[in-house]
Amino acid sequence: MASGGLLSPGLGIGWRPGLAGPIARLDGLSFVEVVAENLHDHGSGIDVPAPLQRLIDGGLTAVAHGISLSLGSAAEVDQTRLAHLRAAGEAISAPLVSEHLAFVRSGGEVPAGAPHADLLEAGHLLPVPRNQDSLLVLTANVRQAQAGLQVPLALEPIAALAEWPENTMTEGQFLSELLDRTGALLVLDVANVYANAVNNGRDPLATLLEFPLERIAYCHIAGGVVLDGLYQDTHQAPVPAEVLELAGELLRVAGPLPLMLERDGNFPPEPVFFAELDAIADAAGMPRVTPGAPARTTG
Amino acid sequence: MGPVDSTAGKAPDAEPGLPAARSVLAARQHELVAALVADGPVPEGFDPARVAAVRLGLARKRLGGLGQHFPALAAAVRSDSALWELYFEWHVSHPSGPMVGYFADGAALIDCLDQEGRLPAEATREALMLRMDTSTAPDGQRIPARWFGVRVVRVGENRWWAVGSRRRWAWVRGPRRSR
Repeated sequence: MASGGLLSPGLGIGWRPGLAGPIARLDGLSFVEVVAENLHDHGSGIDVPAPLQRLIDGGLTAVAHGISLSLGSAAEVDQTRLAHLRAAGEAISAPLVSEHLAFVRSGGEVPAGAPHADLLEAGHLLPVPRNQDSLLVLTANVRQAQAGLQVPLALEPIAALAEWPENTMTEGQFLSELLDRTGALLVLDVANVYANAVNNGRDPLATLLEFPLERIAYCHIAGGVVLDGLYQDTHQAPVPAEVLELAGELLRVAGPLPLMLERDGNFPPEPVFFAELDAIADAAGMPRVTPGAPARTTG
Repeated sequence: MGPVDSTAGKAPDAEPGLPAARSVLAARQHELVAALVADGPVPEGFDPARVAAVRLGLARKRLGGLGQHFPALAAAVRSDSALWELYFEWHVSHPSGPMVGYFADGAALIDCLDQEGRLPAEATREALMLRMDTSTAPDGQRIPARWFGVRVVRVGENRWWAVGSRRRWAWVRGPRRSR
């Protein structure tokens, strides 16, 4: 069962301007998630795009999802970015906000005298080492973030191709410890679990079952491709059958959950997109949300 | 300043060992990011093949991002291996700063390729429109051009002349060789 019941079980979707048309035609969505960095403040508060505002006005729940707070950075949390995440959440009346268990830049305000204070942006989410030092830093940073937010914070473990040699814990152990220390919730990305497992020769389901499933606020699912012999979680392709199956397994074990598709680009024609959404709903045993979809089949 | 951390019951960095942990992590994270987006060596203990895969992925992602603003340029870079090499060189020697976005990245790449005489012909129109619509601010950032009258735009060795204002204009001459 979803932790805290902040979101209702069912199918959701990552709202993107390029998908606004098809999303507006969906019926029975449980929630939408909006990238906080894509909500801009042009001087008079956060501007919520009109198509998104219409969904919210129609009673749909929206969650703000940060991508650049860099909670896993060695530096303390950037208060300006944190304030933006909070404002974005407030602008869409989000019952919770989420961020990643990752770092996206090095440098910044590390303690006085520390080396490497110049800022370098990676342009993507990078993994943190899974060891005690890292836990100490992340715990402090997550608590700082929680102190600057008015709603619960959920953390999403990422897909990572390169593993730190410093790792002393499994993903599940590290995550359980961090969530215990901070009280944060979990955004479980099924595709990320799959990617990390297959790229490192581990069993996806066994890895998934090690996660603290009772802390799940909601789940992500996304598509990817095999490039250079590695599974890459691009969010720009249909969800592979193996990832759909893993999501099905998760729901069988953990019970009904809020589950949403992340599609960031390479948007297919609407009928194809709707068919992909139906495939996710079917794999998860959830009602379809596409126009003209038949009533829910139980089982 | 942000509110005081009430859940911890103490100042955020009062945890023993935390400052030291931050220092160690800062150094290692900087090594990794430098290896991924700049010219840094592979940090000790990492699998070089995996670091190379991430490095390539980040370059691809950045090209995809700037391709949202300059699709013809991105497509040309993807389809020409010599141009890809040049792009990759530019990518690792121009890491994104905190304020730089994909539009600014694309504008900088266009300027760089143009200066080297390697701007692909397919991207001429995008370069032309970029320079019609924007000017370079003193800090190097592209800002919307505010012009009225005649505007001369150069791409490669050619020069175009337009008359009007930012909102309504017409070509009056071009392209003409300028050098």
